[in-house]
Amino acid sequence: MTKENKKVILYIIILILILIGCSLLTLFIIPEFFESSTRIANTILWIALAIISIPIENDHTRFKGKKEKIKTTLIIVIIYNMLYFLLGIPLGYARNPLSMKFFSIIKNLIFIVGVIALQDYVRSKVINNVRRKINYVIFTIIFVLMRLDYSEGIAVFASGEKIFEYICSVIIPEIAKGCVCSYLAFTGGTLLVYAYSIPMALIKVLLPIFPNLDWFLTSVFDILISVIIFLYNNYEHTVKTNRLTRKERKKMSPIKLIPSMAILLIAVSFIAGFLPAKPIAVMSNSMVPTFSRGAAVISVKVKDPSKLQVGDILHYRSENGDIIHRIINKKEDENGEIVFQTKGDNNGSPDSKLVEKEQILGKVKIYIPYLGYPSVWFGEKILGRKSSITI
Amino acid sequence: MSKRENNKSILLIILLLLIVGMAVGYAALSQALVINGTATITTQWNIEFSNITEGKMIGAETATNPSYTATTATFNVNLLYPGATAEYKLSVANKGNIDAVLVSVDGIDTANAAEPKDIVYSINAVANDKLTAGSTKDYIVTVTWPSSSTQVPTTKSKVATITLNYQQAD
Repeated sequence: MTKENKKVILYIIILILILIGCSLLTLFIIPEFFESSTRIANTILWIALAIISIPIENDHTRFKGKKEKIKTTLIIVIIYNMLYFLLGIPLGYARNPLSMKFFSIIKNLIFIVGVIALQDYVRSKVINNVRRKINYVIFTIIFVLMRLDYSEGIAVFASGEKIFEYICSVIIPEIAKGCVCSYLAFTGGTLLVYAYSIPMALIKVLLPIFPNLDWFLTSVFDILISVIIFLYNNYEHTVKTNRLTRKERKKMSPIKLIPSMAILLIAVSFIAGFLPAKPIAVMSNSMVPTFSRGAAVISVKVKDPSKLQVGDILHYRSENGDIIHRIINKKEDENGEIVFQTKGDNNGSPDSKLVEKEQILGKVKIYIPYLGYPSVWFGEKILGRKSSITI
Repeated sequence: MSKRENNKSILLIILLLLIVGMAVGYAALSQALVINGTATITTQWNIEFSNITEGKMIGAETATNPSYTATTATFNVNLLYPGATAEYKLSVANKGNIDAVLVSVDGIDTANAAEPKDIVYSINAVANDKLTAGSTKDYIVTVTWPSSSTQVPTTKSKVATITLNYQQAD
């Protein structure tokens, strides 16, 4: 081992120790003792880490075609954001909570974009100076942990539903982002990671509005962009670093994955209820013999509730969750509004409250026995729900 | 530079120009866009309800125990006679690390304009009220059946959706 190599290894060991120490600082000590100055303390911490990382060498043969990879990443990020913002047309827009005043923007550029830039700089230095695969995994986990949101503390574990939402909306997207950033750092260094992370961060700080998506869709899109960036960069990297035949290149091309991605998106939209029809898992036997617990039914949105007839099976929202029962009477209330009386086929008496138009979610058209059992199990054991839920 | 690389550069320039075009279009259309609520874009921004409790009750009975989630707080109260009033203390916590300011309180006027007009809502939250990172603020939501009211309303229930709009403080 040369003197130079020993020096590099020493730097890495010091950096690893500091990084682990900083993880503990970021997670537990800074929020506790610095409170409203957390952002400042966090930024100073990352500036220090970046300064320590400067002497570490960071150039590799695997960076071949770096410019191309950067261009590809930028193109994907731009197209993705254009499509993402167009979603606001059908779904509506929501206001950016960050202030759009000049000094606030400068502050956010330093404390949000700046910290991300520093984090990815350190990430790139570390990732490109470790050799064993396990170390890549360990550092990716450390960076994911440092970017996670711990503001809710133990409140996250209040219920199965909250844990599920936290895992889906925070942990999984952060893991996806962390993995793709580490991969970009590995294959193209700091600038390639910046091509992905900096425009994404800038958009959050500079744009006044965003599509009004719920946590589920936001997570789906966060994961989707990470997957697309990874697939395209993996393709670019393989093409640049290996001698592939035309046939092999074609076989590897991520364009081939577009149909599968489209199918996946349609499936996600179907399950999430963004299409006119939505699958529901039945959790009780109140509609026996028509369908029983564990059946999957398709609820189709109703444009004009006044056209619903006695005998139709109604999917509606009540105080206790979603209910699927049959209409047994249709009448007008004291204000002249149409209301529906409902009853489960297996129940002895009608439901206690009348269903108003605003509560109606859909009309059940198709039912398939047993298909909803995994959702029933998940809803009861993990989410602690008792009524019908989406598959 | 190969043809493929050249095409990529051209595509990138076109996309950047498109973005500029979209920004100009957005600026022209922004007045017509309907904007609802606040987007969840950064984990550093986290303002939510942290509690709701019953306050002063005169001639009022809580029908369902008040409850809350991160973004909604719910109470259901029966007002028994003119002059009845019910108060609920609502706690809002800034669990993120960005200072926030209350920019507007929406929904009170709409609720009070709806039938039955004899049920009146109010909240003591005012615009420009600061909520620093890590702090909590309490607001009182009051629902009243004014003593001046002489008639029993034909519609006997009223739902109000009150929105507290927060933004980053400067």
